[in-house]
Amino acid sequence: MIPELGHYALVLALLVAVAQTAIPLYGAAQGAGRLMAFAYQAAYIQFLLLAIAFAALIQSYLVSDFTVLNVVQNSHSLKPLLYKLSGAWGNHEGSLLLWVLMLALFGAGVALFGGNLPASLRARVLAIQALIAVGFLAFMLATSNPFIRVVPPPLDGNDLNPLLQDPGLAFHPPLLYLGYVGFSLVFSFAVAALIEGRVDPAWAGWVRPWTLIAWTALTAGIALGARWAYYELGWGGWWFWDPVENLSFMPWLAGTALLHSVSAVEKRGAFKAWTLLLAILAFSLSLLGTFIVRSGLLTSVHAFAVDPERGVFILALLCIAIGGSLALYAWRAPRLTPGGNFGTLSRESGLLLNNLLLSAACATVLAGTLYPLFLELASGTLVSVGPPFYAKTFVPLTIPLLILMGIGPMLAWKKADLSRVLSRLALAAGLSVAIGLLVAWLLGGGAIMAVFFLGLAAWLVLSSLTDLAERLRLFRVPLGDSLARLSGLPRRQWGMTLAHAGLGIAIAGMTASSVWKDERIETLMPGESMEIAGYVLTLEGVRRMTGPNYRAEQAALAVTYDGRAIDRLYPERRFYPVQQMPTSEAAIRITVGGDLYAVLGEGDPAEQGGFPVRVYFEPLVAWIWAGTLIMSVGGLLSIAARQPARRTAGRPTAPQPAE
Amino acid sequence: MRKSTKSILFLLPTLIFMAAAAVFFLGLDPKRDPTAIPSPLIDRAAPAVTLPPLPGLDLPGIDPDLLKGSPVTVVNLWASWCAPCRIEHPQLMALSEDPDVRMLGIDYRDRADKGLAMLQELGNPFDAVGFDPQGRAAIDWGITGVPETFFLDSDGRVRFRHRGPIDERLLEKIIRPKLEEIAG
Repeated sequence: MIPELGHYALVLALLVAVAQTAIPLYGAAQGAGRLMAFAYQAAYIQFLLLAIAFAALIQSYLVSDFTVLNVVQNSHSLKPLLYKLSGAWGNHEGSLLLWVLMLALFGAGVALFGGNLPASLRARVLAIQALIAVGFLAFMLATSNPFIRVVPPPLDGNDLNPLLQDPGLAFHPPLLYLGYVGFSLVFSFAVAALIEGRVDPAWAGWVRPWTLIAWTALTAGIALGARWAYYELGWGGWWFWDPVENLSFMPWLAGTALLHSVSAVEKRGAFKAWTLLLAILAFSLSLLGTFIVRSGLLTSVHAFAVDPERGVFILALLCIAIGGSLALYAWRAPRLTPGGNFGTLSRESGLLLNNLLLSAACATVLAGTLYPLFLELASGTLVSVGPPFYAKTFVPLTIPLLILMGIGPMLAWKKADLSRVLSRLALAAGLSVAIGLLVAWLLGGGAIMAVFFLGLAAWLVLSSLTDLAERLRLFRVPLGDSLARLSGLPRRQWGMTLAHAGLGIAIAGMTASSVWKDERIETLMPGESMEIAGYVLTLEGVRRMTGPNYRAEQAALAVTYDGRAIDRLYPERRFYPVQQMPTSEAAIRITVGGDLYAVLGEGDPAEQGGFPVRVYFEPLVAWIWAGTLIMSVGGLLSIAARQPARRTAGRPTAPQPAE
Repeated sequence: MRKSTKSILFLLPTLIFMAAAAVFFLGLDPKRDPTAIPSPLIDRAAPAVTLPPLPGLDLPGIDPDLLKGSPVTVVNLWASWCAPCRIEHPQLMALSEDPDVRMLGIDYRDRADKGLAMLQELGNPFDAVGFDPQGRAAIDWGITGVPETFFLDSDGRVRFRHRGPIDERLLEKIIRPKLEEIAG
């Protein structure tokens, strides 16, 4: 009964979405207020219906209803509660349902908070948002219905892939979808603006908080995914330039560019057409990710089951959404009124350079991801593009970007005095070079690029602090005055400072953990020891144990440093009988200086003369998680910032004065 | 900027997307196997390796002579601990009914009793099974994981290689046509 209710709610949601697209668009064209007002009633109903459908799926998982095919394929009665729940969205059908639920959530958000939007803009945004939902709901009902029953029901389910049974991964997909789908709303705003033929600072003021929500969620989602890869896959790496990782990274890069260009529109009315293009691209790249992951076009450890028939359907959706919006852009964008002028050296030109670099970086990732596919189809040659490609293309592009990130925030709008800005940053620059040299000296030379990037990381943190100190007029006015300024500092300022400094901290972690990672593999009998980065690990023993839905062997490794016992690590190798799959659970000792990471390998101790133990030392890896967390907090602060007073609908707005 | 140049510039994103969409459409060809990475063994003689028989099973082990002679010889690397191998097992059983096909199995990094138990449980599609507890095959055949399957012609040359499990769809759409091509 419950699954049928869910299925029925999905069908109703599709019908509502069709109406929510057609009626408000017609109403906006005719200027009929009642027809336009239908959009937000429909947006609430749409959300309610999809919430019912999602609740029905969750309920089926909670009670392990094995008459539902989706539950059979992805759950098991013995699975812990959290993974029963996360199993609901850890598969193709369920994740699509979560996708459309979020789509409707954002629509309802606009209906709720968009009271001060011009009526026609709000109607059109909600109509476009519903049009996206029409595509996805039709796709779900036609090819990927999560509520299909199975007769006769099996006694138990197939369980979820053990690698996905992890608390981090329970929240990784919802956050990523929040990011992807957040860009859908920005996309709807862009398409609505193209239909209206008007982009003004007020439009940018409405788009900015939604872009920030998407960006923050995506930042946290990607970081959570990287962290999952780090501790769950047992290789000790956190980013592999795998196609699916890249597919989540590209919307992030486009979204970051959008975040910056949207503030140029908001403050100065500049880069209008470019901002619209970025808004379309950020969502197009999100859709591309969804398409490639589900169509089997590229292979990846993360991909869902391969199904080319589904792929054709999604490709058709992609052509309508991306092709349609880009065509609309080609038609309407050239008619937008040009924005305000700015000098060669100004905040605007800095943002322009930022956007060019971010777009180029995004393009290299896109090229690296799709090149193997294009080459295979063109010449039949099979290649795989790995980290060396990105080290030669993506990484060099980040250098000017990171340098610029320190300078840009201090440039004034319209016309900036570069020599003055540079003289204020001299201390930060000098200290960054000194830190780089100190690292090089401590290590006795070696990896020059790594030392350089650590210097850049320091530069990002120090220049962000300099910017903050400048705004507080620290050391130039009495300390009390500075403190008074501190409390009056806008949240947007805090958001930017934290996001930039957080990236600096994360980059220090990324650099150190990829360049100075150490690795040892040895076969140990109980009582034997191995050494890494000054730590001595002694295998005390291995015991068998049983978990709720797995069997495991757990090793106890005593860790000593300088002869002092400091910790004990318990890496496990598990076997999940239902999925017939072995996994390894790494044991990690996390410290600020670096992680000690131990894995119990596969192999029979009787034949190999001991237990294979792999140990990694990953310097500063915790900085990545701390840095990305700080960036997300920065994003949250910026979302919570008081939005500048919005002008009433329809009236053309004058550019705001420079700050 | 002249007006026509400007409008072409604004049309550029659409054109690029259309080109990409066309490539994606070609990429959706169900015959395409995105997991394929070319094996260096293709069109070369299969590695002449001798492996002892799987203890307890009343069949010979792998012998270089077994790699030649049959119109098609299938060499499948499997293990009892490998879940995808269980998924592909019914397809191996189906292949073994073809009189033109000689089925050779290599039990890779496995325990003899467990490997034997799997064949007793699911049925034995093989004409000979080599036992490879040390994983020598990884080097000889250049495999990265199990299951992996090689298809040899009557001269013992590797003509086709498939990584990962052979499911029903692959068996009909890719493997069967390949077998006919190899058998000539």
